[in-house]
Amino acid sequence: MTDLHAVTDEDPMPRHARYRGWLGSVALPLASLLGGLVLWELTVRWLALPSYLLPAPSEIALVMVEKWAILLDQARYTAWAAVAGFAIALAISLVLGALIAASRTVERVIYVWLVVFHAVPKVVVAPLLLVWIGFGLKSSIIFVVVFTFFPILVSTVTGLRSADPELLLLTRSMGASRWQTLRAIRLPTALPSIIAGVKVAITLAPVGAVVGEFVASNNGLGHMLIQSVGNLEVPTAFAAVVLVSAFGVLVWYLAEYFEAAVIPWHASQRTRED
Amino acid sequence: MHDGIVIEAVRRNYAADGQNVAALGPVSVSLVPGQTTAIVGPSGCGKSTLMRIIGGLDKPTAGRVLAGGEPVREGMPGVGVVFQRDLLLDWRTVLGNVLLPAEMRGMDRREAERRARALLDELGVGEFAARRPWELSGGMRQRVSIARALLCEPWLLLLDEPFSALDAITRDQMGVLLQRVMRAGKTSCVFITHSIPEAVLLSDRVLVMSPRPGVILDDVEVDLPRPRGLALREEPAFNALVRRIRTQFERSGVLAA
Repeated sequence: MTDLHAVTDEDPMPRHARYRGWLGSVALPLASLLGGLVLWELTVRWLALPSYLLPAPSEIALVMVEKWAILLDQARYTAWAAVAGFAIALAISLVLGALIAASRTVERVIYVWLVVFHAVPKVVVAPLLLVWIGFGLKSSIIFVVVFTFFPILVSTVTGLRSADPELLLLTRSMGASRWQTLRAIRLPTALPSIIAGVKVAITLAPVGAVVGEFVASNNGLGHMLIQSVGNLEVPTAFAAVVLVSAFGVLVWYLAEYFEAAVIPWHASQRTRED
Repeated sequence: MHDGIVIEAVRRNYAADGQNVAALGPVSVSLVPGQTTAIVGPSGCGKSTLMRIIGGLDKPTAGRVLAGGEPVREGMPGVGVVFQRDLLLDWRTVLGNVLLPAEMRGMDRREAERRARALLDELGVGEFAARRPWELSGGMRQRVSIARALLCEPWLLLLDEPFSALDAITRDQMGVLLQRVMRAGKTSCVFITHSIPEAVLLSDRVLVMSPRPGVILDDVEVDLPRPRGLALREEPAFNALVRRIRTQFERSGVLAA
């Protein structure tokens, strides 16, 4: 195997390749972000926009420094709801997905409900949750579950069904039991698909938590957001948005890291091969 | 050791577009234990189906297959299968792939690993034991899949066009190599191929099949000395056998005369 990205002393990479390697992965995205922020800052200053319309990045940063204690507290609350809800959704989806993949009858009975459930506009029925479950963390968690279970479920079902039929014939010729086949063939085959679903779902988790807090909580970044908008404290609202987004980015990269660790053998994870 | 395999009036039909299509048979034939039997025939003649039925991996519509007097069944011990595609698992190392049947059968791990390494060495891929399948060429990968099929010292080895996906030079190498590891006398091989010369080169007996529904047109004994090298292909005796089989194909309309 030759790793085309490897830089060795004996064989230094061409200049443009090194330039692309370093700039491409870190510097370019950072520069792009910074450039955007600068442009934003300058626009706000030139047009002298009032901060209740659009606060400058510097102002948001200032608010974040000023209110870091309360922001962090609220962020912790939201993160907890997101993580707990995601974990529950993951467990539900994997078990349900395995059942659906194993049996066409189960699929016919359950799948239609799940699809209907997913199609219901969740934000619209959010107030109902308040009625059913009441105020607080539980509502937010349930909201995260509702937001995140579907992508994982669909990817689990697809993944578990995509095992190569000839490969299954091969393991049957070895006298493999259903359980052995699941462990040796079906599960590893399904992993790339499941992880793809997890990556979609995990970015939805903070969104679900925030929407839950909009309607059914007096805690968390979502609640803070809606409250500060009501009070025209737009910089505080932006600070909350920044934190929610930062959390989303963080869990995304965690998922990517997890992916590389779990399926290093998958074609998507290999650095360019021959 | 096993008695021979007896195939009794085996037929296989398929349902296609609501119609019942006869794909195979009736086929009745006995395989001599320890021999390599090649089955040649045109595409769609049911030769792969016949192979699967012999190994218990597919059920005949009518008739039965006995091995040592017992009906064959799916998953019976001592059956190795090699397909056209190597079917190696990307998430396992080369060694881990070869050990798959041992895990499925609950064999002693250390003994299995010793045997797996010996087989990989014998097949010339021992140095790749710790590599991943995608790092190997097509020919190397197929060697690994042959090692996997041989791990449990099979009394029956099923080879379904094992070299069809390989280039000509690799094919020749594999043919010679396969003879070396086939455990002459201990393993009965059923070898499916499109290639008449390959069938003659590798087997003790060639069953020639007709187009669908496949029946046996000719049963050709290959009485050529072993070990057989590639040079054998220039010998008159070899060519006489190839010609005999080709004539069968011409008569049945598979090949233009």
